[in-house]
Amino acid sequence: MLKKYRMLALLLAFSLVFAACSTASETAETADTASTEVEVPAEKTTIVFWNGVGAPENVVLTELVKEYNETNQDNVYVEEVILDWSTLYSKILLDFETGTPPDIMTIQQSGLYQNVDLGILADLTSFMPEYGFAKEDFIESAWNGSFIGDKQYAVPFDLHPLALYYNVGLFEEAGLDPANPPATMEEFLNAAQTLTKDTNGDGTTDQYGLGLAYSGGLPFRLWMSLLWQHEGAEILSADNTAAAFNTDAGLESLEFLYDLVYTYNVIPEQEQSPDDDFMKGIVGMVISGPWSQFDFNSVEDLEYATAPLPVFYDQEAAWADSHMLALPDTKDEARMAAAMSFARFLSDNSLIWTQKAGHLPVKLSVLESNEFAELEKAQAFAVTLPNAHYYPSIKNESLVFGRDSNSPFVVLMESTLLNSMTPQEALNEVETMVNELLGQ
Amino acid sequence: MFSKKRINLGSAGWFLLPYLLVYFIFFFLPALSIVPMSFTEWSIVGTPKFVGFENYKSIFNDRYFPKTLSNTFVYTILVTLILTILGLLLAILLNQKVRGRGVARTIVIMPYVISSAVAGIIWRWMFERNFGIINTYLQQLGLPFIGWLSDPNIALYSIVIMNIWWSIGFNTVTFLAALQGIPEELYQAAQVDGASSFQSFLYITIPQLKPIILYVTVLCAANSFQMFDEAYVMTQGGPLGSTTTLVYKSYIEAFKSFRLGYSAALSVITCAIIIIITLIQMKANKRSDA
Repeated sequence: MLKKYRMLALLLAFSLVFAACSTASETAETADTASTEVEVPAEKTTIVFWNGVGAPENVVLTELVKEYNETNQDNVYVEEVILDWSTLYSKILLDFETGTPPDIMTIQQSGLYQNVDLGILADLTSFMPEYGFAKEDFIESAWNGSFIGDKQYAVPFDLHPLALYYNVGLFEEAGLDPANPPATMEEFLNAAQTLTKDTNGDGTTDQYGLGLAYSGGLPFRLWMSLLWQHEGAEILSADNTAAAFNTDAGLESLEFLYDLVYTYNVIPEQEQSPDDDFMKGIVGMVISGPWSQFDFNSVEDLEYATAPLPVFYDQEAAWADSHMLALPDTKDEARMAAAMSFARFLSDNSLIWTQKAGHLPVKLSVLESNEFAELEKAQAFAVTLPNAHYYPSIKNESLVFGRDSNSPFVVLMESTLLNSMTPQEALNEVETMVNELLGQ
Repeated sequence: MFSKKRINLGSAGWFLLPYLLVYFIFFFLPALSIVPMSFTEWSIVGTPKFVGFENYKSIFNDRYFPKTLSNTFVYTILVTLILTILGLLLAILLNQKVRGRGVARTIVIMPYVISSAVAGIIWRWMFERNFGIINTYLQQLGLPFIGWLSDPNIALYSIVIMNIWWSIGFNTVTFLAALQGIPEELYQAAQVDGASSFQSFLYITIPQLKPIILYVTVLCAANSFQMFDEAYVMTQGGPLGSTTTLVYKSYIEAFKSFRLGYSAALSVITCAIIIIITLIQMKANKRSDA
């Protein structure tokens, strides 16, 4: 009797120990994703880097981290942690509170104000010249975007504006010239309408001119781009305390998008996945940022090209966001210095980031280089750079410019594109929502 | 009413202790802390600021709250009803001595093996309006596309369908086990008395299964009232807030809007409603016993 239980007890003990061991090695693996082979000599300063850019671009940053660790002369070792944006923005708060934030992390320009306001990020104004970052080397909007007030809180790394993607094959089939993509409202409508057809003669349209989702971030970013194309139009008032978009410009832009779906019928109704529709050849054009190239490039027989966002109204304008590098305020000078050295390396290698991840460089030297000129698809985005607009910088950015179904601008686009409110009603409703949120 | 019997756990108590300790420290106590948190305004960083009933007032004044509440109730009622009834019917079916019932049982339980998030992604693709497989088949049958997840009037019901597919196995297996616990003699005695199979079902099966039916409905109701995964993975609460549930809203408020006090208040309300629903169910069960 006893023997049986002894065996059982031993087995149980072994399985528990085994389970504990495997969990420990798992956590060790996930924490040390960058270089498991490199031995870290004791005198190197180890810093933690949060890579939040998300798949699939994050592999490019991982490669750069590895290169830095193998070649740097700053005596620094970078431990990389890979996250997605969502996790990064919540985790940074928690880790900062418990005193274990990373030393350097990726951040989006749109998330800068909120994190600065919560006291999480270090003021880099004095660091920047020390590490060779100067205003004249960068695109103005990106440089200015890293400032909150007159203090600088991040190193600009890239810019990703919206541009037009179009299917070369479908263009040719429809008799449109792929070398001359639409650049005005008229040309755009013409292209969209020509591309919209019934390809198999069954009486229903199965190919559309443009893909535009009704939900998520992109629809309202496009609407904002159209708004900014009107001279003098803004999303918020100059002091960012009130909505300023419920104007003729706002209405015209919104009505245009509504008409594309319900009057011109060039956008499929209730469209959910425009990028997928583009990849399947269901839509001939799609408006998106450089990030879509990864997926599009993976489709074998998809021949596509990019063009700057057409000028629908008075002037060029397109929504953009930026990836930047920020340092949580750890007050540890040695580690902050190490982090800035790493940031310097990343900035010096931003051409690689552009070549492999597609996001546009913010350094003038890279933009003017021959290597950049060779990147065919990137040129369309570069044209828009001088007229790229960020969201207004506000404290509760995640509330006001959020992308879930209850966020004001998502409500704006969903109500309009799903035809549950007229454009004017939607604008009125959302104006009230935004003013309420800004007042908090 | 209750006999004054001391619950004698014996050695079982010692085995339960580690789990209960972990549960208490890592789940129960933090869950209780939601209540004081709901009276504060807090963005994770910094100290919480006491604001009294402000959060609750904001919730009840939010123009989208009634919709969120009704979404949650509609979803819960539908899923609980269908899962319970369908689960029972399937269990009875699979209890019959028919050929291939082993295979059938496996097929029924299989969906439950994958996580709800994975199931949600699969169904999101199937429900996709322009190229999803369901609409493709409809099109080949000459029927129009249905906006399963993109039509604000349908989206919630599409999620109900997905959840039924996913969770039916669990209920079926639970009922199956219970059915096999019903003594065969009861049915034989009923047969001798000339009862029809429907009468057997009504007067033997159902009463014998009452505790299990209560267990299943309470579990179903409590779980479906907290629906989050499907909303998060399939529709992000849309379109037009038609699939936003209380827990989803709570998550968004906490981790997208960084309003933990508000989110805590929502959780308190959700918890209170679930407790009330459960108490009502148990009372109703007791009443029908008498």
